[in-house]
Amino acid sequence: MKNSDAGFRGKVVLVTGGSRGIGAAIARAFAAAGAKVAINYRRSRAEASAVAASIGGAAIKGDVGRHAEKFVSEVVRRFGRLDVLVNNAGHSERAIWTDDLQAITRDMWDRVMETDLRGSFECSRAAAKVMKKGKIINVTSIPALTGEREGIVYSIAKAGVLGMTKSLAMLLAPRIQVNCMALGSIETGWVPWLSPAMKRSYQGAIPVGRFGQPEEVAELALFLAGNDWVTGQTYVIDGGESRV
Amino acid sequence: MRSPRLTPSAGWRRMGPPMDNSLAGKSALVTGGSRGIGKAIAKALFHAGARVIICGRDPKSLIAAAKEIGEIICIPADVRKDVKKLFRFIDRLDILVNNAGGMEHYKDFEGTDLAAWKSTFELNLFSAVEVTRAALPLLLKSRGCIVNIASDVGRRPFHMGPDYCAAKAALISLTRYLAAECAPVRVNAIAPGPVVTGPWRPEEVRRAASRTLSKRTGTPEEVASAVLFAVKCGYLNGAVCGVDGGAVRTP
Repeated sequence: MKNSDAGFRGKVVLVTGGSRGIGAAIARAFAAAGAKVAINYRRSRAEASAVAASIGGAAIKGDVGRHAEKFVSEVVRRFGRLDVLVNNAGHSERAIWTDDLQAITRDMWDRVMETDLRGSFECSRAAAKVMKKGKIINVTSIPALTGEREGIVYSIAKAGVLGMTKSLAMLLAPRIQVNCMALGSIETGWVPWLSPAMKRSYQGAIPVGRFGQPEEVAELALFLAGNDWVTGQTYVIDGGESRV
Repeated sequence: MRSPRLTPSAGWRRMGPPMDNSLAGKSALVTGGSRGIGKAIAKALFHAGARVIICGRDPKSLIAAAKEIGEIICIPADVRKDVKKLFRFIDRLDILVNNAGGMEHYKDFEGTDLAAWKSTFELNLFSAVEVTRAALPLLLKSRGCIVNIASDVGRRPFHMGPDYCAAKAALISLTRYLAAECAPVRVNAIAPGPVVTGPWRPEEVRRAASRTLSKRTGTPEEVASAVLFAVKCGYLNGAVCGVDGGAVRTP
């Protein structure tokens, strides 16, 4: 059994969208386990630099949909290799959360697909080029498995990630293991959007009685990055909320 | 039935002391813990600092497992009929691993009569139901967790053993059901692919390996590491964790 404090010594990890929330927690957990960590960001330079500085890693700018190859090779140039890619970057826009089907514009569709789907695809493709052996960890969400009345575009993009995970696992076997984390309600930036009553009702639907913490998602990422016989899988981590 | 508490110090000398103490103070029961995947799970929990109890049908292999692992408690018990007796020896429990089970034959649907179905369901489902029933009051008290060892064939059936595939699918469904009803006890399943634990013929190993993306069979330790993760991760509940090398094809 691996010692969690040094299990990733000598390994290089790239976390996209790593400037805050779940991405930052994953970056910190890998660093604590001994890895060299690169954090990709698009706009949040100050936050990304602060996270990178706190863990002795690097913050690397780039849009996941457009500049994947460029910043992945930048990681290899700085650290000499790449072992783990975490496709965490996702488009966050409150307006896409609507039950008004007609209110969804082409631009909204494109923005979500560009980051959540094309971004993960392009980063995976770029990583597959430079990894000798390694792991790719995608991030999806419960609406991909259950549907979501108020998040149809999001659920479509995240369902695409499920298929991509399985196909990539086939394409890259046995060199690279590709898996997916399907997240439930994790306590990040969206929670303050909720009224106290909504928060109570959301939590009431979760058997463990609370939202998940970014650090708990990071535990899953570390497990997936450390087990060589797990591939093509989607692990649901939602406190028992969906049971799918 | 006596409780043969074994303290073979030779095991400790060979394996060294527990490597991390994240489960210190926790009690764990692993059914079918004397061999194969169950033994690897018992070892992983022990090395994480837990107080480990294993049960199994064969006293000899229980003792051999204890000699190998270290200071663990062995209880000879058949989970199909000795559950009451088993729980006479257990007064607290934080972690239950329903691991006991197995494929009793390699027949197709036509070759599988009702007696075979009943026997398979007794071994792979009803035993887990009864052990869970007996353990639940203790687990509710400790706010503990359950890990059920299912199989990849419970999600995507193999080309034989329809009763086994169905029993493992039922265990997966039970896992998801209990994840809601048993809160705050967390209930998860691990679905292993082909792991060589018995006397497999080389061509059987090759065939099993060929139906995975990894092109190899798994090790009991790889499955055990997933159990350890499921035990430790407090937000994992109702999840089915595939550990199968990407078992995509059935021959």
